[in-house]
Amino acid sequence: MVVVDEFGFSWQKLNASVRSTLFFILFFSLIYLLVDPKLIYHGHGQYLSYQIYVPGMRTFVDIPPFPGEPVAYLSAGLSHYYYYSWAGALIITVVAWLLYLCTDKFIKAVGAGNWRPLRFVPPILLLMQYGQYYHYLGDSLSLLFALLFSYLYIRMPWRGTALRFVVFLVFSVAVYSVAVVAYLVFVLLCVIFEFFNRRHWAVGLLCILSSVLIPFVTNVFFFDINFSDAYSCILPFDPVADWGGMLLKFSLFLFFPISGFCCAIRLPFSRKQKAGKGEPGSVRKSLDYYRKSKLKWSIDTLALLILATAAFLSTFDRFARRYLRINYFNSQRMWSQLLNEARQLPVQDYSLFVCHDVNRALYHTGRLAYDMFSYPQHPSGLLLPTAKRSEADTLYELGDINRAEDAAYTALALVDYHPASLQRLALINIVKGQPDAARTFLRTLSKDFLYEDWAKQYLVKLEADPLLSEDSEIQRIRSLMFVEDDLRKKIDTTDDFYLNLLQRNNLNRMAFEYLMAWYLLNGQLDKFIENLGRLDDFNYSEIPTHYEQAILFYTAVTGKVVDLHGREISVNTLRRFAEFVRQSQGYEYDIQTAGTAMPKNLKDFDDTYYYYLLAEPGLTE
Amino acid sequence: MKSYGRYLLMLLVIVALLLAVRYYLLWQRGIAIDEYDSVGRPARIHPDYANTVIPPNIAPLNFLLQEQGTLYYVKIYSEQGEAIEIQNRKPKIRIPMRRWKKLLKVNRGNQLYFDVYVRNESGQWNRFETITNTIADADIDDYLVYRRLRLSVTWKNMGMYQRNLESFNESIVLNNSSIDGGCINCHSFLRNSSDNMLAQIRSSDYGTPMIMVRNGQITTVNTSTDFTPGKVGFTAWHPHGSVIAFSINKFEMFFHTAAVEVRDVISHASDLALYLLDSNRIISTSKITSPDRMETFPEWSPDGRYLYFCSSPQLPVERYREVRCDLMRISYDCKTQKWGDLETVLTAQQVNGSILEPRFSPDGRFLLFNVSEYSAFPIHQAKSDLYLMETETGQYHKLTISSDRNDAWHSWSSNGRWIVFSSKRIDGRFARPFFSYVDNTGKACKPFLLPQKDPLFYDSLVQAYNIPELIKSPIRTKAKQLSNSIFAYRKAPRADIITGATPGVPATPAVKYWAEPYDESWQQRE
Repeated sequence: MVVVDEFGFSWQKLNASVRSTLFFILFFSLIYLLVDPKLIYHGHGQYLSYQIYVPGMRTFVDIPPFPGEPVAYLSAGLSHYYYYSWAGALIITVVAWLLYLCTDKFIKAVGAGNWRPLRFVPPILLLMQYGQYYHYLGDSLSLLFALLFSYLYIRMPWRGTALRFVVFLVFSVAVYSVAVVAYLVFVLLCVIFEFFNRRHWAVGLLCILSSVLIPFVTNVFFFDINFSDAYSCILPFDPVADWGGMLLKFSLFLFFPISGFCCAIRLPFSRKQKAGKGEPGSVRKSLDYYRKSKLKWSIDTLALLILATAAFLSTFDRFARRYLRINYFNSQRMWSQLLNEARQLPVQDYSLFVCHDVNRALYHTGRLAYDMFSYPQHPSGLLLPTAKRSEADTLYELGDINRAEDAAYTALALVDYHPASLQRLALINIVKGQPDAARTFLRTLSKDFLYEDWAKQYLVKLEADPLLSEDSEIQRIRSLMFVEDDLRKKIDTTDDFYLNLLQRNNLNRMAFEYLMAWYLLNGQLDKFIENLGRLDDFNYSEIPTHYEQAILFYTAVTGKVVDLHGREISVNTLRRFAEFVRQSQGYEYDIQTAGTAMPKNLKDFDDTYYYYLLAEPGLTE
Repeated sequence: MKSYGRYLLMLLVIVALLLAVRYYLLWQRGIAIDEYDSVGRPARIHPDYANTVIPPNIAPLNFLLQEQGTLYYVKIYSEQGEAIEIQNRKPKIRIPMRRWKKLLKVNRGNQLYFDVYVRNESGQWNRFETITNTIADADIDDYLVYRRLRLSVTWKNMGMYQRNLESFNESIVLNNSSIDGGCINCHSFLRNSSDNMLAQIRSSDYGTPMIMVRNGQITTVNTSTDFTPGKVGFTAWHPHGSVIAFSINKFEMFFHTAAVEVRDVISHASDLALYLLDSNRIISTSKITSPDRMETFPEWSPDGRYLYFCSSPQLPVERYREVRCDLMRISYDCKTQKWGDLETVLTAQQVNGSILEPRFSPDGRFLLFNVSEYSAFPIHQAKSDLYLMETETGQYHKLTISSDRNDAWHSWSSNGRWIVFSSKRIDGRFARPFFSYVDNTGKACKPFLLPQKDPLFYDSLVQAYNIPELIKSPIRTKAKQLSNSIFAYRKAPRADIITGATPGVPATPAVKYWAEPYDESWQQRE
């Protein structure tokens, strides 16, 4: 019962509002601080697969109209604002609040006021979804649309069977066309309402029967998709999600029909309760005492906040966050932050993506030849041909412009709009001396307010100097790129590739360091030693630590003397190697037990090349 | 509540009326520019719609004025009919459709003028020299069918689209998202008619059906046999409509380390064959399936007596720069199914390049083809030029409309007065459809870009157009019907090449292999 004073003011309503406000402040904080929506934006096309829509872009235009397209547009448009974490958090919070509001309205509409605490369930499920970095904004928006139409249907004043059925048909077509994944939710809620609340079996049955036909009929008149697709799209399956993600997804969808059903069948029981056939006397007394207690509101509110936080934290995917943060730092060229983040990642959770980003960061901080074996390594982690955006970035810096271009095109083609790839393609074409092509990419980017300034700046520069001959970075990359055309049948990731780059420009430091890294990672020490003389081409004042370790190991194994080109191996490296040799006496290397059977005291050497070579199982593909 | 509704309705009506009045006033209000400074050059407009010949049934040539100003005024007029006056604060000039059509309709064969005035910041009007175009007497076919795709072999969202050239309406013929990806490669039509069309599909899920629409009926043809070395590439309808010539190519993609175009293609095997529609058979002859040569790009002469094609020696990928195609032909009698002798029409040496994509004008007087430095796959060439041959004399010349970039995938209108081709002339990367008027003497006029509602449409379109084909009426077959036929093809058993029996699957006609004279070359190559 709601108590209202003479001014129409309700303390209970105020308390409920304050509680929900506190809940959504917590919700926003968790999303903003922990989920960090900008990570979702930057994971687009690399770790996460979803659409981004920018006005003027041709997202969804090239494909036939499909059910749920309006919501897909809205979702893709809103996803663009995830670039700013605060905006992304605000969008998710508003969606959660609207879900809360719709649930509340629905519960009240079916006359199950006692069940109102359930209205917090959808936002909590949404929070858990985002904690797992599932970006299901389209699903949430579809649910909102379906709930809105369910509510309108339930509140419909007309009682005639025919009229109600016609309204149901119209609403069904609208929900199917606009928010297809929530179509079944809409149908089930309407059916439950007709069966259990209005007890109008005829309308309920008509709704069930017609709901089967709606996809078919709608498809005939509005869409041109295949028969099977017309039905399969009403189920919110996600082929990429794991079972946890699917569970959360289905929980959110099933919550509404299940709670609607429970609310509906609970009603007669509630009436009996009121008639005095409820809890035993002692329990009722305790509950009455609690209900009247002044602490009730505080306890309930605290419990809600704790429950929400616990649910979020229990499912929060910290590793996904770390991966996405590493990816973000890589895209923003924030090398020290990237390395710091990578250091906190347990060895078993490393992936080739991380390995690639770490190596790139190490190179840019001048630490590749010093620290790369402090991190798990794999030869494929240098170029990562399976991740086109990363590959394009690295190849561009190495100077293989044509291959970078092909990788960037592929990255762009996989999603309809990918600003990072457009930026890369613009720069590639500037480097190649193709200003007209560069302009096409820049003009495309200039439609996006996030990249407008950058794009326009380059357009102006190109107008003044089509080759950008004053731009030192463009000139530097140009000095690295191949000038003599040759054919390449397939993607080459071997040493030949780096050697070709060095043949083009022997001062290509990145190619040199990646070449040496390639030799070290593959244990090709003969070739490594052969190329040691290239140190003279660069300003190395000393031999980098990993190179020293490799030289010592090579000398110890082969007994050959290595020409150090006037340089010396540092005392520290010599001392550590001697210690390693001493401690590993009696240990026999076996590839089957590598790493696991290594004496524990040798773990102190796990940042050395010889440890990698002898013991480290490394990453698997 | 009722009164609220009434007020809302009244408000909406008032707003609508005000908008209508404003629109009408803006539409009707002419602008009197009494004083202006003359600028001794035409205004720069984008796309370049100046000094060209346009069809009388083309959509409005909306353009952007690339001149600085605060107000823009354009008067479009000809010798007859009402002039169109447009004023705008922005430099985008969008021409009203109905009035444009009216103006062009009554001025066939006349000049079309664009008078451009731009008001500068100090309020002074500048008048530029009049831009002149010519309205041709001959219509262009109403529809253009093309493939639009991203520059990647992932083939995501590749589609075949049709555009109404009299308006800006574009519709999807088939998008590969409907068939779970795959490549929708070349499409062709019988005498510019949408009633008889075919398109080839290459899908890892659904195989390689040739989708054929014949008088509105869809069928899928299984063209693969144990003897064919690859998949169907390029196709050509015999003018009688009973035979389809097609190439079977085994392509390999490779990459350039320093060329403008990153990707390139070589064919490891390429042969020609005929599909006989009435008897559901595939036939060929050793003359066009030589293992030592690559035969590709078939084209029938308009009288149906000769099959023209391009042919080059079969070379390994390392010698890709030596791949240069000659233009050849072989006679074929549809009634007796007899092949004649091979004849060389034009050698690669004569044109100093590789001759590709021969296309006859409907009257057979001209043969349009392109020449690139090398290759049997012009799309990945940085430069290729259009050439025209007079078939009676055999004289040929490079068309002056060729750009310094890639011009390819050309085709003719049904009346032989228009050609359309894909050109990378704008930015060197993304091919766009251009039209050119070809007069009786074979002279091609300055080409113009397919107009769009937004004149800046192409500026930010990172997709390429290729295989533009003109048709007289729209394709009425729905995308769903096409994709369903592809699904049916997957379910159908592979055609028996001896008996051809695939009973109970009408969507997939059985295909027989029958070569006359018997040809072992395909088998040997396997």
